[in-house]
Amino acid sequence: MHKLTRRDFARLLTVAGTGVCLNMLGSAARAASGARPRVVVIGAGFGGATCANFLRSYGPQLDVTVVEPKKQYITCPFSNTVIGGINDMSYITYDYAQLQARRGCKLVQDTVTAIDANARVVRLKGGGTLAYDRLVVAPGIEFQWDKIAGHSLAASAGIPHAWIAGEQTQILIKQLQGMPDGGVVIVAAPRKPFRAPPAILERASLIAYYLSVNKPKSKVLVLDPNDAEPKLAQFLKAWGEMYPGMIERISGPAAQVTRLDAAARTVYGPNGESYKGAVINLVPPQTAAAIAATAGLTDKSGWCPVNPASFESTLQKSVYVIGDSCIAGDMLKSACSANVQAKACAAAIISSLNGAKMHEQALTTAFYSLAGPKFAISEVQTYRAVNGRLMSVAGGVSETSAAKRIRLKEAEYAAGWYKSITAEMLAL
Amino acid sequence: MRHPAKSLSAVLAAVLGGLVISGASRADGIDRATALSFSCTTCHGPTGLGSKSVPKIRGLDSKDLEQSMKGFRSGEEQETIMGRITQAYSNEEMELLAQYFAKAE
Repeated sequence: MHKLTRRDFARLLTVAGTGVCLNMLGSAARAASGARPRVVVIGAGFGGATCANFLRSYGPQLDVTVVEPKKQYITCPFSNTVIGGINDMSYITYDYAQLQARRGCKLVQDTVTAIDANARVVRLKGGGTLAYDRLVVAPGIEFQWDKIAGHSLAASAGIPHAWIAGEQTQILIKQLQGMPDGGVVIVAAPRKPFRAPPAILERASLIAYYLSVNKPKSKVLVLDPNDAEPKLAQFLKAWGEMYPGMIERISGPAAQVTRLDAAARTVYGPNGESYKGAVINLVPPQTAAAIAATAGLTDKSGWCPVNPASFESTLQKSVYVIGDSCIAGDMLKSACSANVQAKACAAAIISSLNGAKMHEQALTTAFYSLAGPKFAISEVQTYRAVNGRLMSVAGGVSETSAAKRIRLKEAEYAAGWYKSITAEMLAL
Repeated sequence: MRHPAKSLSAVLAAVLGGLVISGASRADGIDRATALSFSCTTCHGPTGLGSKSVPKIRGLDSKDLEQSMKGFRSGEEQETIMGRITQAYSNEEMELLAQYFAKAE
């Protein structure tokens, strides 16, 4: 028996004049010729890498290629413990060796510059192309520098966000180490939606922890223009107990940073309110990473609308968007959301390639925030698609009145969660 | 030497056969219990093997697992986060999950 190539098959169908759309039969033709269905994954974070791992675990017949520009992955979860001096950078630094060796995912160190959803091809910065049967887009966030007058990517070398972990984390740590005792550290949040909103309160807490140990006369000023976080009462209580008088929080419209004077180390609110700090940790407003917009996956909001069960884009066929860049109803943008979305998406892709039934999903997330090394506050939520939208059906935050031993237990659970979620991401 | 007409019918048969097979067989999809288990393993370790102080749930007795989940939901068993999580799950889902993790090797 001879093997038919894809081209032979296409020619044959054309000869036969079947009138069947070739593009639709593409995967079937590949299957008939013995080729493995190809899935390309853009971005190897908590969304992309987890999805790749689960695609290969539950669909060993799949050919999975992950495109990621970075060799190392430094996690945002637990990066606040590094800023607080509790862990070092090695605690949050990983590579993709096991994803390749253990799971057989192909890693391409490059950046996707364009997606041709009709031809089912992605183009790489390095000049190559990758063809796919299904595409997973998990590129994360992009900062909107222009929403803060006087701010820029270049200025972030001196006014760190540390909201993508790595070099930025180290810049913030160096500034905290270099500031005088008695200085003010500003932690400024953007308006929602943005990545991991409760992590602002964790950031403030663990900076206060570092200061309480090393520079106890210093203060932390939190600028948060959003409605109160569900965890706020729990944090305020923790701050009173652990860092009395050290953390001040300003909320409402006046807390929205609209202008930066980097040289004067001052940020400004919309009505000229000014806040001066020895260190300014300014988290800019965010949108889906640029490739999502370039590929026509974003709507007017700047984020990507998706089917809430499969995470397939509602704008491009056979393209799935997971993680911070997608619009997932009530789900927070977080590593844990990306993780459960990645697994649901992997299940949806495997089912769709096999023509099998896709089951209703229940997506449970656990979001731990540390207020100190042995003190965590948990929020759990379970989301289900209700009338086409992912809505929380049950969940909540651990009680404000919870005893110290519960907070300790939640801190221990947080460490277990972190080990588990990174293992699921990187096939550890 | 190739015979286009023969090849065409062979290929179409293979494609149609493949469609029928994959349509009829659910074995290659992800079953409901497995899909449900994905929310547990985020904390409980890959495939439920446990992760630091988050307990192992794989390979346990299914009746024990089911009773624990129902106990968390009713408040009979006190625990910091499972009480909140189990509110979202039905008896049937708990039974499926208990059987899934009990069977996992």
